Amino acid sequence: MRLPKSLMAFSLGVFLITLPTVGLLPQGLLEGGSSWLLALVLAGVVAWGLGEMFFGMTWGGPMKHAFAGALHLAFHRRAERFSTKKGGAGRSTGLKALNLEDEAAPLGVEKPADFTWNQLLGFDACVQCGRCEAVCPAFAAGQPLNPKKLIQDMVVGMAGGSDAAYAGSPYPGKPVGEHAGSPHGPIVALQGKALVDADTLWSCTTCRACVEECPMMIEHVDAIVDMRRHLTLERGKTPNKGAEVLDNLIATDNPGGFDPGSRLNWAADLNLPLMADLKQVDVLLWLGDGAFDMRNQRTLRALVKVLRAAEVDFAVLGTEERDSGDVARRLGDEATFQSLAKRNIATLAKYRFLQIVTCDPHSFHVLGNEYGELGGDYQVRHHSTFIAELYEAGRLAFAPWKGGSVTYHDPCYLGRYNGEYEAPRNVLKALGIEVKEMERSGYRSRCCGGGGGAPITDIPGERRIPDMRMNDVKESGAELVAVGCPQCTAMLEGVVDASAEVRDIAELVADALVERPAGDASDGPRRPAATTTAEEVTV
Amino acid sequence: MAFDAIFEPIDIGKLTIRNRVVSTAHAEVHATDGGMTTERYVRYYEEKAKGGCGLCICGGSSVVSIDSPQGWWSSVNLSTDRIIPHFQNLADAVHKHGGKIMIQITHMGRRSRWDGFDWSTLVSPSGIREPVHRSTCKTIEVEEIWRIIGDFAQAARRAKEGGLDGVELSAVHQHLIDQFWSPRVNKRTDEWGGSFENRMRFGMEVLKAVRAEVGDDFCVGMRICGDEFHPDGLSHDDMKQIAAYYDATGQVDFFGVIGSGCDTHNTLANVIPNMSYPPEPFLHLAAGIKEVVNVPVIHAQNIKDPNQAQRILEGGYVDLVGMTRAHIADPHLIAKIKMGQIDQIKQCVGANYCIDRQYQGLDVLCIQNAATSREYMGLPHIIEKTEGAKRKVVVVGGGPGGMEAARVAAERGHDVTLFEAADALGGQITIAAQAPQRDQIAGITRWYQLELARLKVDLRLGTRADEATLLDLRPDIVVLATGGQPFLSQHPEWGYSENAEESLVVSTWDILSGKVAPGKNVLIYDAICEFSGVSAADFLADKGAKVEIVTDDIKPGAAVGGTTFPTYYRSLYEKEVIMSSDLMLHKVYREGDGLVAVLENEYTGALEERVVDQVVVENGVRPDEALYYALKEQSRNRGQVDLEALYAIQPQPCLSESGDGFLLFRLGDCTAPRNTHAAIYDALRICKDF
Repeated sequence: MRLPKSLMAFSLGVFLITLPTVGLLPQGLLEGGSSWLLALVLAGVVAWGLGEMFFGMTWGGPMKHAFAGALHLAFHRRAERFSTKKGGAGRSTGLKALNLEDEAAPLGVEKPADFTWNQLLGFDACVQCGRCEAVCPAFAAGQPLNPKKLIQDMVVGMAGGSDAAYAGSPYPGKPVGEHAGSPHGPIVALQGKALVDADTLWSCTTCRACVEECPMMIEHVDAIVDMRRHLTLERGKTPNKGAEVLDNLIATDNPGGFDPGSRLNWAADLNLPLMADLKQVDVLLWLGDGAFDMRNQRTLRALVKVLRAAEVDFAVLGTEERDSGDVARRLGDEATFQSLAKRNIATLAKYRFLQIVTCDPHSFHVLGNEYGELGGDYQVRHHSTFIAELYEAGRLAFAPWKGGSVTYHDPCYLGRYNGEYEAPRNVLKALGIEVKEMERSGYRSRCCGGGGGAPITDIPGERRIPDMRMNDVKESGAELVAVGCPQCTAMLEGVVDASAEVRDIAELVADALVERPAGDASDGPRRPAATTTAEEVTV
Repeated sequence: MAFDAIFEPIDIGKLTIRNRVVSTAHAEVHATDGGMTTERYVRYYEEKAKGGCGLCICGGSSVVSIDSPQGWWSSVNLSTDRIIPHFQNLADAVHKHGGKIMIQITHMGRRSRWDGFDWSTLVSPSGIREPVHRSTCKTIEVEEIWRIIGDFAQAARRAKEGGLDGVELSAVHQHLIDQFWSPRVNKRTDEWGGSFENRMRFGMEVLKAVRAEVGDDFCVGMRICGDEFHPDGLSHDDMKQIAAYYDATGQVDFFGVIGSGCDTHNTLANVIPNMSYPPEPFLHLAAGIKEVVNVPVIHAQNIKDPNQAQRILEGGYVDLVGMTRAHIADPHLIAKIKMGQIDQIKQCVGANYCIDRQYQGLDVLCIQNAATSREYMGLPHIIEKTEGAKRKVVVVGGGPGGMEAARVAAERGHDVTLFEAADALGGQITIAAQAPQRDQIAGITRWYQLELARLKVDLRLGTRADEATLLDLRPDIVVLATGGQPFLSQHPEWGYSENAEESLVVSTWDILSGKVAPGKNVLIYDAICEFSGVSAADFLADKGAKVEIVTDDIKPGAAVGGTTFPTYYRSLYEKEVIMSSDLMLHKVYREGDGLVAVLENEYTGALEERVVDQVVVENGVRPDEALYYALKEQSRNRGQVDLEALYAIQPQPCLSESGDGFLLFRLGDCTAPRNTHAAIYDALRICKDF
């Protein structure tokens, strides 16, 4: 309550000083002998009020947010967010690379002082409006994370002290007053408690709902990943299955630890063209690690069927493909991410293609937005975008929709990360489906719980995020939820006794395919996809 | 990844197979029309390919020569170029779903019948009679040997020209190639018999001729046995020597291995192990062959479960698993694994209804899946939801027919209630499963239980439905599958009474269900000669009773199939059960504490008596018709089934007629006593259009 008081002191002082000037009080009131005392008092009040506001900008005073907020915006770490030049309307969602060459540089953020100065400004800019807290899926699930509190803890850490004065909702299950820190003390204690606990940082699904909502444009996810980088790279403390997944990625180039030679096993009967044979194609189909997952293999087979129906000139890397590095990076293992990324970039450099198409929004995001910094620049399309384009070009025709009501779940890495809300809906519309939107959809979509390695670190809560999301689906009244992400599919299908069926958009499209009317628009003859085709691709 | 070993592709020769699961060669007995594959045949294999099966080897015992009779089991006839276009249809149907298809080719030698069709003179290395088919034969001449070698090559060419992916030479089941191999049958002293090389010569010349005809790009494999299990036959070590000998040519792309010869009834039962066998009983024989060859080895015999297949493949015992009966029970087995619907797989229970029909020259059908091999008629494996009105369907009776009716109606999207008087589903299956070695038949019920739960059918167990309860539910359709009761009242002289205290005889159901305690000295009179009689005998003997099973038929268990009566006999003889035939149960009377059964010889009329303490009678089932007649007059269709529509697999016309009241159908034993398959088939073909 300092701002009202200082504002009151300043304005009342100035007001009283000006009263004689305007004749409401006798002119001599401030000129007489005793009046000097009054003038001094008033000047003191004005100076205190002004000082409180001015110096308080840095000392945690009432004008801090305005001042720090203005500076934060002026020197924002992602200036692109104010530009419309790249990535659509002010979108910048790729994580910043760590410089791994500099041996002296710390890996990630250990203590508050390790954050960059403009990140720190961002924390100070927080006005505690609570919009991040309201949308955070981990908080809603009762996991020990509250993005608002996390930012405030960073503020406490910068100044030094405890979180006892924090008046909002604590991290679920963690009462306030038990944690304290200092600018040069560790954020996460090696033993016992410090500023925040590790499980708070590992609860985040990196869904960016908080970032999207924040009026002060604070970058919560960047900060969390920075702190995770320290835990993983410096301390080797990735919890639960995290270490195993990272070991798998290092040993086998895929998180499941599968034989890398088996990446194309699911397509043994599809005769997929390989980049190694063709060298040059229009579309490079990026499989993602869903190639090892029986559920996602159905989506991939459906997508292949769609590409073949549209006579798309495409090929796959096959066993040359590696994990994109997404999950390693979100788990803080920047080294493994960069190793995977650089090797993928080297592989891709061998071939010529116009664009990459993938059914995995995580691969889509990482290849499109995070490989650039490491020298890989590609035109990447999510399959829903590509299918929408194929349909608009008249290269696909669909039978009328005969199923029940459908809703659409926006994957975070497609929607909030990349701004693609329209293409999937356009595809569903083309299928004859009228989408029953969930209350939380589009940029306010609720995460499935599958991002950021959250299912791997598996921090317990009171309920499961995908259960809440399927409840959103249920409330929409839809019998089927269309998705466009292997991770979302896995999470939502894992919900017990779900009221709705989960299908990838590619599957819906593949099911609806009919022969194109003869003479329909199609830009020229295409290379035959393969000598034999598997017509029935759903299994 | 779960089941990764199953889904690892494998190259056989130059052919890539998408997974490790094979439907191995078996006589389908519906390649009718002079040995030309039919629409039925093509659709049967297409369904497997659609369901994800990696490789189908079709046409068990398909013949290469005109003196290996084709007609007995309607096998495919590769002795003429007329077959080539038929193969093209078959190959296209399988390939379009990503599957591969080969065919088994053979000359059966003496293992056939001569008394029909062209009245062929069967040939064999030394003219020794084959006991199972009671077939005599001539000693083959050298000119005939070379003719048949040439026929093999031409048959392989036809398979290749027809677009199939390969051929499997049958050197198994004691056909001509292994008749030459085995000293049990080959007593020749010329260059085609005697020494190892000489006995191998015929098969080797066949292999060379086939390979020369089709070249290196076409798959050629051999199916062999791992041990004939005959003291004078080929042992496992002999078979390892033989496999290594052929493998050393580098001309064999794969070996299929099974356990046991089959030219006696007892060994025949090993070949397609029924439910009395443990899982994969002969895997060790295939693994032994795999040790000595350098190409993939396929093994089939009692591999029915995905976890079992994964375990076998993961262990590296063999390279591919045959899941043939498993695919007859559920051609969508692989798809269901991939869909994460393992619980929805209809698992083979080893009832061997399929193979036992085949040995009688009847088309191969599944006891529990009426859609199998009827795909061409439009019977679906996957039931589509109706686009019409949602109806209230009430099914009475939880035996196989009632369970299938409830399942199909629920899959159609209707609101289904099922009444069962007993506390559990299963009907007569539950009783059958009580016998020793027969427990796995309950797998049929287990699948339905899971499906009915998944489909949220309202199960009213322990509830006997009467007219009022049914009508209270305001049903649109009532399906009666109430079964029947043992028919003990047919002959009053048997002394049956509904009062258990007074009745002189009990039923096999009473014994198997445990309702009546086993006696010490028991006579079973079996007028039916199917499973119940021998099951009751086995059950009673197992409990320590002295048992005699008597029939007026030619032998107890005479109507039990060829791969199952031997396993009963093994058990019954071991337990010293006496089996008597040609005797009718004339009369039963009480004498002191005991009972006297008077038996009458069918051919002489002579009477003989047995003094026992329990008389068990198996005389089939009397339909339970009471509820049907209570409802019949009130129903819209008066309970009548339109037979033309039924047989044509068309919707019952009354389903599309509007009117008040309910439709009434009855099926299964409450109509007339038939069998599990009949009940399930009627349920499927009536209810699929609800």
